[in-house]
Amino acid sequence: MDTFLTYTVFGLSTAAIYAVAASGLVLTYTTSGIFNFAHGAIGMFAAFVYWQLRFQWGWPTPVALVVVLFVLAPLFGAILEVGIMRGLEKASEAVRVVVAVAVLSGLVGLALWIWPPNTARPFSGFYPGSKIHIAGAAVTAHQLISMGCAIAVAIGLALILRRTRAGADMRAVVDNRALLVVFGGRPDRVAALSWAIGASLAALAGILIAPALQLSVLPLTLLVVNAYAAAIIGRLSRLPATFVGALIIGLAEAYGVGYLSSRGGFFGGIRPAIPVLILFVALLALPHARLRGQLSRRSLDWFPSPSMSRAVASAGALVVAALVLGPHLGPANLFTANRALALGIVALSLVPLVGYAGQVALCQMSFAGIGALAMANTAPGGSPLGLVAAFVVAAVAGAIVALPALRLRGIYLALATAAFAVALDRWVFIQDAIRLFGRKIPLFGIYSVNVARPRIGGVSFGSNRAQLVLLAMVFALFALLVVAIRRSAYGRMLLAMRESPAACATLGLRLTVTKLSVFALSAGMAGVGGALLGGVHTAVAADTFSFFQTLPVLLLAVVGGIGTVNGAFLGAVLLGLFQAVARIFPSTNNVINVLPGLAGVGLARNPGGLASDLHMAVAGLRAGRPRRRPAESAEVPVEWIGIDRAITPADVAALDAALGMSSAR
Amino acid sequence: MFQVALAMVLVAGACGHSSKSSTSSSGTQAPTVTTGGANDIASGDFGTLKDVCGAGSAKGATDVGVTDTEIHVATISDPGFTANPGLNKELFDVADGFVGWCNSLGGINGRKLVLDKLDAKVTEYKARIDEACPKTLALAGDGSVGDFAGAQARVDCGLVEFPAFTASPPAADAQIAWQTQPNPTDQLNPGPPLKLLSSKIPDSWTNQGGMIFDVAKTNQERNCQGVAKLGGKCVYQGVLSAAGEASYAPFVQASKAAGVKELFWIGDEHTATAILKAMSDQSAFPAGFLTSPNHYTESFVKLAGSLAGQGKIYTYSQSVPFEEAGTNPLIAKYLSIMSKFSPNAPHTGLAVTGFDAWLLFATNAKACGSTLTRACLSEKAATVTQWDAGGLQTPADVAHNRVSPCTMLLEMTSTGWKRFAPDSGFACDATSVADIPGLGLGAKKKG
Amino acid sequence: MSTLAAPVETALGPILELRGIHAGYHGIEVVSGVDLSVLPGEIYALVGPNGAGKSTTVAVAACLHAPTAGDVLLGGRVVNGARPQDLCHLGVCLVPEGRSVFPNLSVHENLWLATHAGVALDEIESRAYGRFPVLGTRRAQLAGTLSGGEQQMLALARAVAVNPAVLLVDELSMGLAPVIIAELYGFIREIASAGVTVVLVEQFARTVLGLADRAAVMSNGKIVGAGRPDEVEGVLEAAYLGAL
Repeated sequence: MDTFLTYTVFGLSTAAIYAVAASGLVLTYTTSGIFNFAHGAIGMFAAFVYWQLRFQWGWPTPVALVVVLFVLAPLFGAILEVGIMRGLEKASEAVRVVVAVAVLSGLVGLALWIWPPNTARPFSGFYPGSKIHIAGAAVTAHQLISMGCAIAVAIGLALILRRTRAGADMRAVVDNRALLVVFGGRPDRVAALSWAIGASLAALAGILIAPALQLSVLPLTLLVVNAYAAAIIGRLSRLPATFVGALIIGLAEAYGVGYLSSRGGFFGGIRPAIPVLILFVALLALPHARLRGQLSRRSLDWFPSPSMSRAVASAGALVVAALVLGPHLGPANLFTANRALALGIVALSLVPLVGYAGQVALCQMSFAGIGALAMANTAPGGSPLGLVAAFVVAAVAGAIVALPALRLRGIYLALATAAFAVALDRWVFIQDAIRLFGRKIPLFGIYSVNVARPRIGGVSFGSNRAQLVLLAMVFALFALLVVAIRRSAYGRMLLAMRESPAACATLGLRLTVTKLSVFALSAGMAGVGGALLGGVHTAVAADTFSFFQTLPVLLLAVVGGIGTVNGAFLGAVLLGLFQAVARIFPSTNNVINVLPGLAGVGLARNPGGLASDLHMAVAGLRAGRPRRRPAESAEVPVEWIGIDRAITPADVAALDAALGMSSAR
Repeated sequence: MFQVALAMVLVAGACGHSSKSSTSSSGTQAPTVTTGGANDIASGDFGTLKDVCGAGSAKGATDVGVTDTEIHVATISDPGFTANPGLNKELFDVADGFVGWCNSLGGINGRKLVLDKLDAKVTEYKARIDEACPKTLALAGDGSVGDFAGAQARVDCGLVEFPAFTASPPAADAQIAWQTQPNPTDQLNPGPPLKLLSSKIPDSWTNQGGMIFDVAKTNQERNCQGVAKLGGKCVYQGVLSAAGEASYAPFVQASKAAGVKELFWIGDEHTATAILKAMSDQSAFPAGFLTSPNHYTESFVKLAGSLAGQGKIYTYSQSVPFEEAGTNPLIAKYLSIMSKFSPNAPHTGLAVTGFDAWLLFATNAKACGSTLTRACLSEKAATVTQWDAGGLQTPADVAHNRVSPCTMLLEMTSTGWKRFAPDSGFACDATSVADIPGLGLGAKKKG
Repeated sequence: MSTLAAPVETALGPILELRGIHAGYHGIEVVSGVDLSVLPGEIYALVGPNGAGKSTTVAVAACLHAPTAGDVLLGGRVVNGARPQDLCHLGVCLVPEGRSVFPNLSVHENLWLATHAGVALDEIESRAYGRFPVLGTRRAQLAGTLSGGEQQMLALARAVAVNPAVLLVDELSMGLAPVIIAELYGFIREIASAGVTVVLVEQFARTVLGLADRAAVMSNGKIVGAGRPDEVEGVLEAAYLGAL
């Protein structure tokens, strides 16, 4: 019993940090409809800034705290809102997620640049050395302060949100910004205020946790993932429940360390995955509040339907280019190109799932990893059956993930897939092996897994040049598949499902089968991409396919343009270019790390991505005048959405003729 | 693009004590160096090695990368790793230092060294191997956390390597890799330091504990297997999430509850500091906290030095520590060479290991004379069963890739490191090395 | 931007005027030359088929949408380019199309937000609950869970509680049962007789024409008929069937 209390006390003190972090997340979501994936990154950056002020420049603690928590962090939050988030009001869930990821990426790159990791930065907590003893555990003054902050934040936020008009304003803005204007409110100010508070809370969480973790960019940024479950338990709107959720996670973690043996077989490794498993269960078990910001959202994404002949021509051109360019590229460039193409295949797999069907999935690289494992285990000699196995096994995994997630939409689906990916990272992938159907299947635990390069029909694709051609062929094939989907009735069903599942249901479209099938198809393609990526490297470790590897792939796919094959290709090209530049000019390494963040931020301006920008530019050139995206004005009435020219009498006549009505009245 | 840095970085440290992948490049204080005599960098001697580099009359384009006047060599490291910029950059600096010094003496048998520094960035190792293969004679002083991806390709193309460290099983057990500090998978690697420390702490050999990141937990399990073979016992195996833990208090509590007297930590110094802080808070210090050798840095002292008074923090080294530059001419000469030819080189254990590997390469290359080929390099290296880099490091069986039974321990003080055991030199204990079942994943030439 | 003062209520002259308004979206013109004048205290109906440009016209009048040409005048003063929140303070209140309440806020909180217009909460609440007691019984209920009719009551109550001089209502009757529409229109009649000018935009012309003092019919972005309800009857059919 004594040990139980000890671990309980430990759990309470980590729960406090999770509570502060989750409260900030809930506040931002409640007031903007955006789940801020960059929340942890903001906290991380604030911790570093605080360190710089307090320990490096020797400012007094209260001054440093005030400057970070009440000046810099809120300022950053407000700038984020005004500069970026404001433009996302009408954006799809995929774009919102990606923009938040871009901010995360930018902040991480910036932090690694300003504070290079290979330096010691000792960070002590508040009142180091003072502690009290409770139930055999020592609780430091810093931890007590953290617990106090958590309680203060929970109460304070609840009061602000529910009992002040500013709080009501904040909750109103996310529902209908334009309406608040009509009421006489100032939505711009309100939105900026809520992001300012959210950033300040993120900063507080960062400063509170940094002494326990020490200043390390990635762990500080990633720890917030454990707090997601708390926000979900709070149903992304209720702070008391969020607080309870944080308690559950903190305690579960502490008891896990104390009571779960960390060796012993498959379930022995479950402990690090506990917070995300709680997240997964909470997502499935709890009823969810309606997605925020639905009312004002009208998707302006771009899904052109290309002609099949043009698609075939482009596909052929790609393969020819690979054949022709290959011999002229040195090994370094070949490697970069091969890797970019393989990741491009994974990006391509996102088009039907995230693009057409609008299902934001954050586990694509996990499917790729499953595909790589399948290839490694079924075809160590490179038999093409390995690629088939990669497709099938990954597709099955995709269906399995989709099954419990069938009734989840938007951010809830995204978080469920993230939970799956992280659970895989922390629990499954790092096992040495698992037993399935009586066979022992090695996983990534023993450091790495060898993946053979395919040999198809006697032709070995072992050389780097041959790899380029093979990857181009597979990309081309999958691209044609995706175009064919777009042009088919199945594709129209996917787009319909994206726009309005409710409408689909009334039309009798079978949503379940559609959702399962698109997940399976997309996962299968990603699996093949993963198998080929493994072949490019010839051996891969678990973290090639981690959750955080999915984020840049998703980022570049959406930046390129998630609605089209060209977009995925553009994303891959960008990826390759970034890496090539960083290799050739090592001094640009830091800038290159920050660039994807900036690219993602540009999405707010045009959610159709680069492909859409280019298309408009080309179309403009052809028409002899520049075609810019028109400036957004007030709410466009429903009947005018998507129209780009007025209806003429000729149109009326054509309609009459088609409808069999007399044109003379 | 960016990865869970710690996971990859640490597995390198996990595969045994010879992989000194340091997350810090600010090394230890270099005390004043006496000049002249054996420290004279104009002399090609290094300890017991005579004329490591020097003029000569070698001729002939005898193999890839060799001409009448030049030898193309390469080194590989990971400083461009996006998640941890500057990782192990000291390997590049040391390469510059050695090559500068060697060329100033005339090269190897008169052929000058032309150095290629290849940045694998952890994820591009195979690409670097592919680049190096057609134009480089050999790799020296190299090491990458992602070496699993290219070990096979390297062996297939016959590219000989004299690594500073190997990280993964395919690389650690690979053919034509001549390691000055072997860490094969079929032996217990940290045996010597564990046993040496344990001899100073009563009752600790049967109360061993360990902490490691989950991605590398197999290593901890295997270490405990080896300890058991030597009559010891692991009573606690802590596994931490590579993605980060919100609190290390439960772990140190669990370790204390299990009665751990000697705790072996394989990981990075930031997490080590966090663990030590938790130990300080909870009054849960074991009698000895031993860290993997990548902790032998100045930055770790800066991070954790304030706790050195409360708990006993140790690390181990297989080369002469910097602190002894005043009395040990070898480390003093190393420092002189670096200060002349690579003044920005950080002073870390990894750097010295890299230098060590270059010495091995040069010695073997010189022995080949005019007919300098990859095959000859390997032939010569295959006869080296007692290599101590002129006295700079513990004697190792390079030819058979056997763990060295010798080591030394260092203890942290609030201002730096100091020698803990033995009183001088290295302690050698043949009973501290155990055989365990190997993983059999080493890269082998096919067919 | 002209200096904005409180609207001047005059016995002569329109309180709200639109002169030569052209407006559109993304380069398509939706309103092509609209002139409107609304006299103080009257109920003015703007009818026409879907897509005729009625909502856009009203959005322009409320300064929510900038016209590409033309002027908006309030009490004889040009107010083009005024910020919508200022118009609220001046006494022009818009009840936009769709259920213009905040679904995730309670009835009470919705009314609370109306205090942005500068009126005290108790006044707003007493007026709202006084006129629509059903709202009083649902104070704490989320507005999104109210029935369509109750939501429109809340929307109107909110708009009226801040004492506007001009009330612009877009598609009040959309999706509501006739008996509810009748009740709401009864409320409109009440407030008009208390001196509030009401402009009603409706697609379903018949019922609102029975309520209005004057009306205008829009089709294809233009006004094709204006005057008293009986005067515009004749134009209705043609406008709705697309002959105009």
